[in-house]
Amino acid sequence: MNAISLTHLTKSFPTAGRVVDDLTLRVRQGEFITLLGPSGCGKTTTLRLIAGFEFPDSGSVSVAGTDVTDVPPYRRPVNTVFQDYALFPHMNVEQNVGYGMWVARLPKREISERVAAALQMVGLSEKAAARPSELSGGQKQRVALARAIVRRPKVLLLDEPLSALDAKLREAMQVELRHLHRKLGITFLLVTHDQSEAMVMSDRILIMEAGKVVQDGSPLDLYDSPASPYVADFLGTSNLIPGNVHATELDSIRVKAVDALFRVRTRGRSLPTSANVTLAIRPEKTEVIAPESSPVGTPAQLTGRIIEHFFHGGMLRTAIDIGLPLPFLVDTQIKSAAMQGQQLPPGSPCRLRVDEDSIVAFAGSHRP
Amino acid sequence: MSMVGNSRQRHDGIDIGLKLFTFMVLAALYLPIVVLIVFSFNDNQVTTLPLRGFTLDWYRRVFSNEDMLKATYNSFKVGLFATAITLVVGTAAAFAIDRTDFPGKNVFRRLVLLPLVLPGIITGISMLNFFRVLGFTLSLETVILGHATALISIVVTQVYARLQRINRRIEEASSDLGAKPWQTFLYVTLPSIRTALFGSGLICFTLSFDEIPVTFFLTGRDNTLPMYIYSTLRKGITPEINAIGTIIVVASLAIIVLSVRLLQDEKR
Amino acid sequence: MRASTREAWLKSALVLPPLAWTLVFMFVPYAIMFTYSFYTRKYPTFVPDFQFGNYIALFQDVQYRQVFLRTLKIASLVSLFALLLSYPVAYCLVFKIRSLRLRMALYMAVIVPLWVSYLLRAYTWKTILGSQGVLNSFLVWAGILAQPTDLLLYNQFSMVITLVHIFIPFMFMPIFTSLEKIPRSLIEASKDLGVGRGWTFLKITLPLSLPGVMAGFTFTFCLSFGDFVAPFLVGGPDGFMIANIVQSQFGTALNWPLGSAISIAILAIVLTVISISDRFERSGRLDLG
Repeated sequence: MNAISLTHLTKSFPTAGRVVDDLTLRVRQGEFITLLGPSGCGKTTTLRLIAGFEFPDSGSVSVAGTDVTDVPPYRRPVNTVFQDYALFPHMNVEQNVGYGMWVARLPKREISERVAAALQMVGLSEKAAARPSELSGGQKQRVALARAIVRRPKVLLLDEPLSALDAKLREAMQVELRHLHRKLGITFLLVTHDQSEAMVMSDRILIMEAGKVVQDGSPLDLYDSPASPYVADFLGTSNLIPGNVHATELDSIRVKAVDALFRVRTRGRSLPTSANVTLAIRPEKTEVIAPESSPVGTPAQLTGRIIEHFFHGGMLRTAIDIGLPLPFLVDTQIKSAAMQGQQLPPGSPCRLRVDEDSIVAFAGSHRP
Repeated sequence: MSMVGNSRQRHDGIDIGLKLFTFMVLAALYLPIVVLIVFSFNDNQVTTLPLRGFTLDWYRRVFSNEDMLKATYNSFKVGLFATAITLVVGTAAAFAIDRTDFPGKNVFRRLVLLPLVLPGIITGISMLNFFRVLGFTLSLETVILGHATALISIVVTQVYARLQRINRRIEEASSDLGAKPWQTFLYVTLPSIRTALFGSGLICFTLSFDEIPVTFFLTGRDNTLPMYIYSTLRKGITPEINAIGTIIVVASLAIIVLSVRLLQDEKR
Repeated sequence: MRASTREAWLKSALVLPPLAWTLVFMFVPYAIMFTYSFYTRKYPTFVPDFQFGNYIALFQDVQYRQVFLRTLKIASLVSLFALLLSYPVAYCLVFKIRSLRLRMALYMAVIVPLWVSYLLRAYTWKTILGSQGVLNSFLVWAGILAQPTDLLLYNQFSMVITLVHIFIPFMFMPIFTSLEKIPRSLIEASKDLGVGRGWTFLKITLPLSLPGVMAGFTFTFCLSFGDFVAPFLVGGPDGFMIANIVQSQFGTALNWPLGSAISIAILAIVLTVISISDRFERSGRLDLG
């Protein structure tokens, strides 16, 4: 039995058009699944269709084996953690968390026991009497979480739950959510536009574009073999380079791009000779080499000119002009940058060596 | 240097002039109210200077004037019922404008808000015609219906403004947590608009308590307090009117300050 | 029942009562008033008819035309003076009073009289301006006048003063709101670019506050246009306004069809003013809070 099952789900809005487009999706019991995509890709609408805040134009929604397509939100076995937390401002923490059981007329004693347990689980026991306005962002987040899990839903929906937190707190909460997921055994469905958040927490990621799922797989699958340049660029950064198949071999091709020849694994794609292709090259799989040095191993393929260096997420990122409209990006571990003293000054020529095994080739020419 | 100094002096001059002007306008606004209050205690049958002496006689007369007391009672009755109707219908209208879509909504919105700028005489006369066609006898009940119609717009603007500000997600959260629609309305939506309801209710009550143009056309044999005052004014001015006026003014001031406080509290 | 159907039911339950109310107590009465305006008077009642006599009388009868024009004039004067008095006050509060608390307190001070009995405020002007009134007795007492004058009351002058006093808050509120909405950075940017205070006011502040001025003008003009209490109290024969005529048609003159026709004319003028001001931006609305 699937925890969530969406079948040919379609939803349009008068102004935005078709936001969810014939979406079919099965989520296994206990899975931590993430809908990932930029704003406007339909991921939040999908979540709202599952929660029952919106009703589909066609298709069906089932939760835990029951068709809930026409069931209002208050009769669905799912609970939601909202992006802006949506805590009731006129109730204190305890009343917020206990609200769902209070409207269901559960015995007072049971309510207070379960509220206490939920608050303990999120580490907020001492704030039970506080009003939401007295809490910090992280604390509000925990109240919202406690309020959603206290009713023991079949599915927990999380709508960009961490987007309002600062970077440090966000990372801590990612780990905590992952931990909570294991402990509760509830199915989690997360919606986010933050790829690193998706990578850290999910068992499975669905990348959405224009109301459709464009790729579905584990974080590692998606990172290693993106199905399209869109995915390659969305999950981490990729340098997208237009090229042309020069020769084909058994399971690899030789691609000519920017005057260089690359040997690329085809990964089962059919890419005939002289076909136009786009190469996705990861910044962290490339090395900047000073023009005069002669390193051991594979020779450098590309030449260019340094534009600038800057720090980016614990790495040193270098932008290099290789004669394409967009600069080529290279990420280097900070320690090796210091070691080589390789701060080639902006303007100086350089060579680039790419780990050919990591290159992914896509048919057709995409954006520059 | 001297040019800068001059221009700054000139600006200071403008600022002081503006502040003085503001002070004078405010003084002029309150002058009649002060006159009203002062002369309600003045021991002279005529409202004229110089003041003669302090007396509570006019207040004593107010409280022994049966007609005036009856009219006051009528005004309370009209005000309370009219306010109750305005709150129910006005709140529903505000929700309808904020949350629903139906054909003719724009016309509806305009019609509901029209009395904000419509002279009361139009409401009064159109409803007088209407009641005549239906064969209704004019009474305090027809006055209540007239006041409610004229004042609904106040509740609509206030509640609508509040609805626009409240976070719709908290209603979804309530529904998500298993609350039925009526529970969500009662426990989440209503508390969020509570002060807007209270504030606009108080405003409606004071406006109804003070209403003339609609009442003039729709009342039967019973008088409301303003109508009573209006009709005695035909006979001439008596300081008794100053006394009842002072009571009304002080009471409305208290109510208004309270209600605006409430309306603003939740804005923050 | 489908959830979406249930939601639709709920919504119509919400929409219907206010919709019915406006239909029954506003739309239908207006329609009846409109119908009556074509009826013929047959003293002491009237009979169904379809003729334009009442409207023609409105334009042809010199007396009605005169009162109509006078009402237009007084409503315009009231709006103009209310504007000239309110704008500087609103400007001063928004730009010259730094303390937010003081500004809100002064704002309240201006609008609070709005709820202090309209009738009493009009009536008090009568006691102030009357020949035995406060102003006269003060002037005589101070030796400025030898004897009381009756020039102060029962004319258009007293009408305008009284109505301006009554309607100033309606003019002030939307102007204040629209001035407050102007981002300070715009004015600073203008000054930063070397534009002087006068030009900054004319080029930035004034145009951005025009919607508020329009809204204030709409309120003041429409409400004073249809007033009949102030003319009754302080107007005298020379201050008779159109609403007094309506009043007498439904009272002593007993000519409901004519009264209805005049009411329809007033309604038409109000709707015209609203739609003109609606053309301008929708900001600067009435904000009682």
